[in-house]
Amino acid sequence: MKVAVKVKYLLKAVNICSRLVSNRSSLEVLGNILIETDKNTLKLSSTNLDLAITTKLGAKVEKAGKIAIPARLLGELINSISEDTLQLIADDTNMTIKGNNILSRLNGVLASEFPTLPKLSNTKSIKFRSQDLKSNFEKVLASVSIDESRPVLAGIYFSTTSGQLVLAGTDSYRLSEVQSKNQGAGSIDCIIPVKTVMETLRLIASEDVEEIEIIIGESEISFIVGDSQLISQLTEGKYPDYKKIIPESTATTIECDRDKLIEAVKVSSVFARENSHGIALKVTKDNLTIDAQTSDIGENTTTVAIKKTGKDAAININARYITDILSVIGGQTVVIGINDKLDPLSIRPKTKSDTEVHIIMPLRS
Amino acid sequence: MSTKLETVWGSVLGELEIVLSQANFQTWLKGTELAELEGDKAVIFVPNIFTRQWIQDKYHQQILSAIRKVDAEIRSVEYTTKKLSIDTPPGSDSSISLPLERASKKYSSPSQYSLESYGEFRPNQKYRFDNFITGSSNKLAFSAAQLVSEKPGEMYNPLFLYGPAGVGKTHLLWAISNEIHARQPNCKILYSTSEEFINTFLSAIRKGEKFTDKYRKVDVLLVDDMQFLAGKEKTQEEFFHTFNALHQYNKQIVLCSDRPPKEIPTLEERLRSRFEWGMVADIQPPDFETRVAILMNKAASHSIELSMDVAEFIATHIDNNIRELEGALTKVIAYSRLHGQSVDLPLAQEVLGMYISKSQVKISPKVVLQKTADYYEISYNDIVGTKRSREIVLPRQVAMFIMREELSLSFPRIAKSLGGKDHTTIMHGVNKIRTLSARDSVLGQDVQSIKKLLVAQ
Repeated sequence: MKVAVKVKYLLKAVNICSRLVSNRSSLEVLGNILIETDKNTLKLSSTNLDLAITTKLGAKVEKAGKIAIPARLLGELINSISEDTLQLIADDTNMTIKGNNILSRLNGVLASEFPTLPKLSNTKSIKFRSQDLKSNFEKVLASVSIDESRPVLAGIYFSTTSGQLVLAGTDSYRLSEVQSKNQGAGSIDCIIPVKTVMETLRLIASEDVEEIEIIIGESEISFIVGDSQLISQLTEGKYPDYKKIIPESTATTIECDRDKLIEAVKVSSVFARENSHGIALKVTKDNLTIDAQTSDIGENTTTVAIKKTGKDAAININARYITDILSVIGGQTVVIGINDKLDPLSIRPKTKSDTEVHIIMPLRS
Repeated sequence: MSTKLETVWGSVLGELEIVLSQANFQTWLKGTELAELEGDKAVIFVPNIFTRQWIQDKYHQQILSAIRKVDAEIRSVEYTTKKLSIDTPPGSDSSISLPLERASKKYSSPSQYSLESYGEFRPNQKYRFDNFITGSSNKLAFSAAQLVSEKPGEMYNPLFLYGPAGVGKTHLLWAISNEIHARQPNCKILYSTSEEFINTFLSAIRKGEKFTDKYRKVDVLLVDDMQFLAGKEKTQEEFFHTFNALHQYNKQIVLCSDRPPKEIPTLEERLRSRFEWGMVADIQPPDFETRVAILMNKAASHSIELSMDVAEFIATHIDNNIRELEGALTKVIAYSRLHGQSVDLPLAQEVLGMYISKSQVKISPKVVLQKTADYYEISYNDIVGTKRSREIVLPRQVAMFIMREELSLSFPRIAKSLGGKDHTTIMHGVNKIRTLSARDSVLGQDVQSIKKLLVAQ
């Protein structure tokens, strides 16, 4: 292999790939980044066997070839040199990096030792505006479980039917669902592991692109974000039938300003140390009163102005669940629905309230 | 069926382990399983798509030739990341409804209500009325269950089903839930084991909370394995109140136990009388004809034609537990698939031969003595000898007790096996352990452990 590359592109590619590399893996080769020429580009790949990333960068390819190089070594080197262009010259197990002022030789590994990345079968493809998908993913991530003992809940439900995309996440104490329009693709029904989604969000952040493409195969999914592609396994299993949990109507409905509510909940949660950040919400005429107390700290009451329809209500809830949701919800005014103190509480944005809903189960009083 | 596949795969892995480096073997082959052997095709389950790709690219030839050494019929090997779910045990699916609070306790407070306890009832489709085989031994229980599911709360309330293990109590309980759910999807149904009930109750007490909401808000309450409530006085009291609250509003209650209310020890009188209030129906081990019918039905569900003589052979030899019965059939079918033989009598005899003779093996007094001595880490000679130190006398008496209880030997016979002691010595020993083990839980557990050792051999 003999190529010339711009350092800034190589740096970006190495940084993207390094995120998946772990040095703790029992298989040493996974600590490497695979570098290979692909026509007139250079392709870098890494994998942790849950996910794989490949990213391409423009390069002047003089001689094709491939080699795997330890990610940490490569990262430290590229991150600390101040060159503009580098020449990479490699045989099977050694790579020489040549710049104006530097000359390094890195010990590598045979490229054939590096895992071949899975090929997707029976694929369907959909395109999304990357900012839309990012904000929708962030909304459902607020509720999703990080407990991997239940893989299905440590995933995001992804479903498309007739121009409608539905995303949902739950940890069985709270649930978020977002719907949005999308074109084409037919019907897809799958669960994407949370780690894959988070990695995709990172990719979106580092690749500045308008549109991203999702390719879904039988048991794998791939996100194409600019020059990079992420490949992951889909979570096997059936997503819980959560639709029935979302209350259709609520006995008490209040409207309030999102920022004021966040502020009030945050103040109260200073005193909500015990009992899983429990705060007590009380809805009267046109006030929402938030009470919190911890015996050895003290107590607090905050009031927020609201617009109420329906009965008075009282419910105990985890303050953190509320702030998690309020920090991602779309829109300035939020609508909160309460039925009984044992029934779930719902939060929706006032505008487009049919496209986004969050559900939180109450705390025992 | 899995055991045979495991053996085949085990030998393939054994071969690969020698060829590959430790790291490669650990990374790529750990967690793989042989999922299917059918005709000339083997399907291998791999934990993820990365493994699938790598094994396909790198180890396919080695795997194929290793499998062919075990089974020369095999011509192709496929890889899948989808696990075959043949029999998913109840509740193992991902539903966020039943059963409650199974997981994720570690990062949430117990006072947090879960969506799972709120979500609607998710039926366990495996157990239905139409796949419950009736016979004279379970007809009463079956029709009572059907009536209850047609008109919950109106007839037979409570319905109390009892019978030994593996005769279909849980099957009926789920069938009732499913049927009611199918008829009235909005009906709130709660299936719980008595253990769950106890745990919920205890955790409520610990936190000084009220324990009413979950169990008293339902329309149908089904509780399995009621016998575990025995001796739990506070829980019984709470159950009593729950029971009354539900019964008062004509909410259906269905209970299961391995024995009738009368025979559950230390069950409070007022509970006992309430259990006997509605309908008490027993389920006995199935009779011969029912056993044959169950086997035929099970075989049909596997799309296997089972000849009468095979069904009769299995039904004759396994006679009290449906789980064992179905297990035996599965084993025969698996064996026939693996070896490409048809399911016939010689095959069944061959497969079940070991199994059947094993279940009838007789335990000799000598074995009891040896195991007891081993358990207490004393020598066999000591236990049958005449030493009278406490470390030896107690194990000796435990052995007497077990011989009496488990082998039903006469006192003089036990005396003889212990080197000719007086039979009154034996009577004293047996009685002593009987009273002591009821009071002293450590001793009780010792006795149980030794009994297990005897069965396990």
